[in-house]
Amino acid sequence: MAAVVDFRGTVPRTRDDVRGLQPYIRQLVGEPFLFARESYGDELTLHFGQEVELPPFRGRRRTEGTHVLTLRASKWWIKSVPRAALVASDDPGPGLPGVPVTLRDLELNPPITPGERVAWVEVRPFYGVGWPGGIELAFRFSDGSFLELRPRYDPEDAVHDLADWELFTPYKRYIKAGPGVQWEYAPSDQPPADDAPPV
Amino acid sequence: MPRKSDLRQVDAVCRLHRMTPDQERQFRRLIHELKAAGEGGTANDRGDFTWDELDALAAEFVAGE
Repeated sequence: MAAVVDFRGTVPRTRDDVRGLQPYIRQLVGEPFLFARESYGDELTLHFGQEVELPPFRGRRRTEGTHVLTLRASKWWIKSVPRAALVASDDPGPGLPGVPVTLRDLELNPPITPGERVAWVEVRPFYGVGWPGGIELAFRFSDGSFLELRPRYDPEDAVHDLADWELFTPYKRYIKAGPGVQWEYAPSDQPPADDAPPV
Repeated sequence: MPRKSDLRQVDAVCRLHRMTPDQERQFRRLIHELKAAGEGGTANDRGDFTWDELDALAAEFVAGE
């Protein structure tokens, strides 16, 4: 017997069952990469699908993709085929290979070839020791580029309250993954009904 | 490297203004654009915004939506 997962449905906050998340993240498969954009706090966002116009703010033209992946404070690395390089979220440490690069540089010289499509995507639970862990994310693109994201552990964090990543879709839904091994597929055009306590 | 303290501060302002997740995402991008265009805040040398500055921007953004 076959099954249908409706991208316009919702899934309440769910712990540990990352398999249930897989169908919803797969809606990115086949979507073309558009561009990378920096967001406040040195957050990287990746835009896919079709470019859409947003209402202007103070006369500024604004656009974004129909599908937007926000990487929040997670660690990420990208094997970049167009740049023939590895691009990573964190500064290389002393004595390690690599040179610092700004997110602005990634906007101008994207690590994934624009127009290339998401070929494969996977989510995995990541259980931490002494901290709640989170949900890892991995992509392969049709140009051979590869993205992996892992929740970030900071020992000085008293609470783990930030999502690991979010995926916004054209169906007015979004995946909120983390903090911890939990996720939800919720309306993106309504204020949250309640805020879950930090993990 | 992403700065958790900045992300938390903006998230808190967005919750205060009852933004939707779509609005929060767009607002985070918007305030970065303002900062990059030289219209940043006074919190530090990077042009980050203070809480009051974020609060005022959020009110302006929500009013215009």
